Amino acid sequence: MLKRRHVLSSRDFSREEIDSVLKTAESLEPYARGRRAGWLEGKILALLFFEPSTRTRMSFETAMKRMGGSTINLGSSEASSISKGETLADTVRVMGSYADAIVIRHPKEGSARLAAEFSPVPVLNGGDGAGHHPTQTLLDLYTIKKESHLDDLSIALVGDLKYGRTVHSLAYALALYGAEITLVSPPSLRLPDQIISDLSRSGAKLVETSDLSEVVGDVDVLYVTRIQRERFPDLVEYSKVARSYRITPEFLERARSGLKIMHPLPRVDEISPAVDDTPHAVYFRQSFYGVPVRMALLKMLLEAGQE
Amino acid sequence: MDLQIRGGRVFMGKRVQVMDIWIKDGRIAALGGPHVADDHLDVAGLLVLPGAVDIHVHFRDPGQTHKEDWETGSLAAAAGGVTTVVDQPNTLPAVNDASAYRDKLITARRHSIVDFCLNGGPGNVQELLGEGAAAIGEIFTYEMGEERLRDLLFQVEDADGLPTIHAEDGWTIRRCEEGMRGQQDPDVHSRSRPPQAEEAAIAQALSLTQKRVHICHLSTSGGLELIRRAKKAGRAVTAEVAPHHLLLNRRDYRKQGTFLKVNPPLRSSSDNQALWDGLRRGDIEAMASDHAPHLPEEKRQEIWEAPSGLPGVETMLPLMLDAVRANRIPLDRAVDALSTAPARILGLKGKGEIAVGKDADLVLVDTRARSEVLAYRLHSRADWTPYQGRTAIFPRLTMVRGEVVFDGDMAVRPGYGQNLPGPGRSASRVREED
Repeated sequence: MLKRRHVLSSRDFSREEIDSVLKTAESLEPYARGRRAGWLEGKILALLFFEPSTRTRMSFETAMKRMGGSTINLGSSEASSISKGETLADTVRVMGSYADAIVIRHPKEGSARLAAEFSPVPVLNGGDGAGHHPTQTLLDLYTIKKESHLDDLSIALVGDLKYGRTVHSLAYALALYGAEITLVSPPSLRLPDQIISDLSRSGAKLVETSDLSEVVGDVDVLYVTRIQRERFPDLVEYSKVARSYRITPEFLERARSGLKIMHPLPRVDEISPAVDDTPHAVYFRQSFYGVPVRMALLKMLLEAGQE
Repeated sequence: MDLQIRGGRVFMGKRVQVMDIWIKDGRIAALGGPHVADDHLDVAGLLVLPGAVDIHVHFRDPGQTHKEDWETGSLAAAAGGVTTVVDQPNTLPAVNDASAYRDKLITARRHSIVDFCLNGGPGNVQELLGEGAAAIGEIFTYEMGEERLRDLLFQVEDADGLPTIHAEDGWTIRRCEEGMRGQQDPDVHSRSRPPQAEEAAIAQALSLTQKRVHICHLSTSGGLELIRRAKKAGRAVTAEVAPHHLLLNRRDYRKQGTFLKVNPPLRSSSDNQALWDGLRRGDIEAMASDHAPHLPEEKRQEIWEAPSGLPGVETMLPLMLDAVRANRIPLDRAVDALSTAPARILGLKGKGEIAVGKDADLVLVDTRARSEVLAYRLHSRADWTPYQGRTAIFPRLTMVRGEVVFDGDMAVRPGYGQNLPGPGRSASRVREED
């Protein structure tokens, strides 16, 4: 069962809580695919999106509607009513009086926790700044569980490990499962030392390298993230690095047969489209899994409120 | 003893009592009791307060000395009862490394008549704190992305410094500005930088670091609420409020127009009330002027062009004393907010109160001598004031380390003011230079 009222950061979750979310998600998968359910009939979810994020918003909407609930939207254009002078606390209080739960997405870290402080109803963080994005982490874990395995996992996190918040949260969660994590990044985009020491302390086995080809034969999962051009002083350096981390069918010849490739999407050209049709590619299913995972969270939060 | 301040009504230990102050080597050597002094100053009937510590001024020197310089700025400070100022690093060039810090230090030492600290900017943090910067900031949150801000706060944390935050979120501001570009009503400045920009930036700062944070010029009731809650949750967070966010609001654009453009902008009268309440209760510990002088011809431009900032170092204490007279705030809270709390926030051990061993930084006030604020009587090069015509109680005389620095005119040579290096500077450096 979920002990908390809000979902703000995946780091608030214990392993038991994560397991129970993933288990619920699994039982909801048929409903995520279209079987009818009415558990949340009459319930309303408010979507407070201060910055656009199609994928997160639509999968929350889908999750809610698949269970018979409905959604109201503070579309990103109306979000500019912030200029009328209302405090964020008041906006959240008002939304909380309309709806049974709130999803907030905001470009600044700390906003979701702020919203939770003032909200009379559960708040789900749909991503705040470079801070937290707990539903992404949970759906990543769910994908690993479904497509590979969480116990005795060997995973490589690839790309921008310095700034990529999804990989930070995922790494912390994987540490709870004692995963063997290989960190693959260009030297300038290494995982911050503070996080590395946190992770080793909490039980993850860590290896660091900058050479992707060295690890591809040894891991169960490759988690690929985008390397952004802005991180590099010049284009030449960027192209060199980006090329060396590009996943192609040739590159995958050395991979284990069961290797799964994940990506939080959108991808640019980190993964060649030719990989899409191989059994390794799970990134599109990964984004579908966002629906059962969000359904699980909403169901657990909203039904808990009913008793 | 060098000097006896005889017969004043001295504010100490949160109350006023008639007592002699005895000064030796620039410090308060004794309070009361029979001693012998070379000289004396008869101040019977006058209120004696600790000098104000203004932890937020922009003296524009180096780089924009047509707006202000260390001599005019510090003279305005002294005339307003401010005996220590903390200059912000966004001068030209910005104080982002040791060499810029040292250059400004040379100028300030040569020209300031009050004691001072220099803050460091968002540059080489370790180096700046090592040189003696009092804090890192004000950090303009709207000028940097979240990653840059996180890196910076991490560096400050690592060097054991204090970050002082100008909390306004750039993303919110840019979004609001988009649809408002054509508007010319000065109020558009407040609407384009809404309260939520401040709230988001405060929440963000409190999330990015778990260490101590100081919030500059708090301007909204929402921001105050966040700070109250953070304190309740045990966070080490302090805040200052500027006089203009207490005394002016959006209605004042009608009379003063673009002159009142300032960041964070003027808010509503309900924010004024909330901030007074926060200041009275001590949720907002300190007052700071955010003295940011610009010339009238600069301020007179259209709203999008006019530079942001209001002068205020000289009028802060006088306006507050009048607020005390009008029962808007008790004297002990006003003195705490003007002197004691700001000194404590920046760790200025010798400053901020009247007590044995502290620097003899004193302000002598005739509380019956109410007068109008008039721009031509003020000393800032800004040459205007947003408080024209308001009543205030200006000090008779201001003293820094036992020397009269202002008694109606400048009473010491420029350069009398001393630097107060922050806690970051290593002891060996202090010995070698001072």
